Amino acid sequence: MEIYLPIAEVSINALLLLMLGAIAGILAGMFGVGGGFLLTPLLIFVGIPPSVAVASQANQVIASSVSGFQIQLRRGNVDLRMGFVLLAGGLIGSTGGVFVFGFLKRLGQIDFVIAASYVVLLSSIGTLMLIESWRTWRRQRAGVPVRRKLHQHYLVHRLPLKMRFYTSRLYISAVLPFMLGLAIGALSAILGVGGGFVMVPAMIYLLGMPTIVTIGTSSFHILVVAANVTVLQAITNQTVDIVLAMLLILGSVVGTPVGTRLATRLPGFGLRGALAVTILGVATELVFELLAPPHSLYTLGEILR
Amino acid sequence: MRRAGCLLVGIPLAALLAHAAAAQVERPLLVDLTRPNVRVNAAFHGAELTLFGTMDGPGDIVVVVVGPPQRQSVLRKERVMGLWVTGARQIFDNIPGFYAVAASAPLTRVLARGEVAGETILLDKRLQEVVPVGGGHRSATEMSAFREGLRAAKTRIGLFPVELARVAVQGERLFRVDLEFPSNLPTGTYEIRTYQVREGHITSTVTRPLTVAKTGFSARVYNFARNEGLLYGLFAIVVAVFAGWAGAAVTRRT
Repeated sequence: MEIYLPIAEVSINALLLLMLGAIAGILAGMFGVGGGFLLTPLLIFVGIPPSVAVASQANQVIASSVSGFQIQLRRGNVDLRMGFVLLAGGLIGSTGGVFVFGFLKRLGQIDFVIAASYVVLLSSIGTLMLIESWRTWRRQRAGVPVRRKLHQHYLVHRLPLKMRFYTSRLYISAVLPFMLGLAIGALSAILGVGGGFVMVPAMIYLLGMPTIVTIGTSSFHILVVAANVTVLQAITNQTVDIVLAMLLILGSVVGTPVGTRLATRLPGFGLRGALAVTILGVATELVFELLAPPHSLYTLGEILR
Repeated sequence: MRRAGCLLVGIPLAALLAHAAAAQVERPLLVDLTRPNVRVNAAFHGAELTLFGTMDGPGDIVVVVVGPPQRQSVLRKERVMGLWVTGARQIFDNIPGFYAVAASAPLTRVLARGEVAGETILLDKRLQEVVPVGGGHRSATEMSAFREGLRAAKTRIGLFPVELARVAVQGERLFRVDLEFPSNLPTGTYEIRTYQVREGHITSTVTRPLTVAKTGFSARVYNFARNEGLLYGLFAIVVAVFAGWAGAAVTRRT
């Protein structure tokens, strides 16, 4: 079932796109993070122009974060005050990111920057996850209970502009969440990912937020940043393919409950280990493409109308 | 009076017939397409058109399909610290969006005397009309490497097919050829030139336009995105929010 994507200007199998969306959904259901970080490289593999893949992916991220956000909001697990501080950085970061994206696209460097950023991102996340799941497996085998400190003092306690975040029960500097939002926003604009897989660990380990509020608060941040990226990409680079985004959304809506069910049946460390291996596989493939001599030295750049 | 009337009608009629006969001699080549346009809609995955026509007597038929001229950049990959990155970039103007030649016999035989003066048939000659924008600092060999790279890249993605198809000729009168177009076809106005060639000379030419345009849903989405970027972006957000919310609501119930 071939479908012609009006903005990407390629004809591609609709079922394949639905399947990719479902994979992202399954990941979202299993790990509570949107599968954007795997979806964008996969879209590029199947022949979607990288700039269209990134921008349309941002549109898909909106849909996948809406449901998480509304569920967590109803349960009172969203720290809106923290969310707005993050967003202040996120909106600046993502707006800047979209303009950097457009600039790199005009230079003909965007494909390389996307590939290289993914290599760095995926290989570091994959390695971290692999180490973490291996440790969990070892600990479970040894039967040692997990022990965590009740309260820790991090870097955040030494910076100025301290704010009270009641929902998170924190009294920390606003500078660090602002910077975190900025970084995630830029990442979101250039790579089309929501950034939940970076943001949630950062909230827990860097800011010291209680785990329960991280999913809802990061969903809130991701939702607004992805909306900002979608509008800006649509205005400046005109690379948002709504047909592509809709197919991905449809697939992910079906995939999410499957992932949730899978997560309850399979052991957590094994699951994370499998995901880590997948991520490292994609990263290796991208590295090969950067290292191997290209089939031809000359490629076509942008059509300038 | 009545006879005079007949005469008056008769003279122009004879003149008209003579004129028509002359036209017949001047334009011995008649060409038509099964469709005057290619519609790029949501189900588009390439197109096939049949060009057919008649000619007068022996000779070969050459059909040239030329896409709209484009301005495009060509990128060269360079190795920097072991990584292949995009290095130099050269813009060219007047690149044919698509170029294909079909003939009733091998082109080396039809055009045994080489390219006909004043006409552009072979891709090689058409590519000479492609002009670089800037890049005056480049050496001639570097520029020709970029040109060759452009040609190879367009061939790779199927927009410069090496040989399109063979023109079938019936009894030195009737001919037809199936023209195949890939799914990444650029939109715009194409020119399809049909030549009748006899002993290396063009005896007649017919040029027909072919419109390749997005239609229906694809065209609406494309124009919306092009002309109303802000509104399109907001629309995309609303659709995604609704889809995400509805999807979650449905899956929670089941």
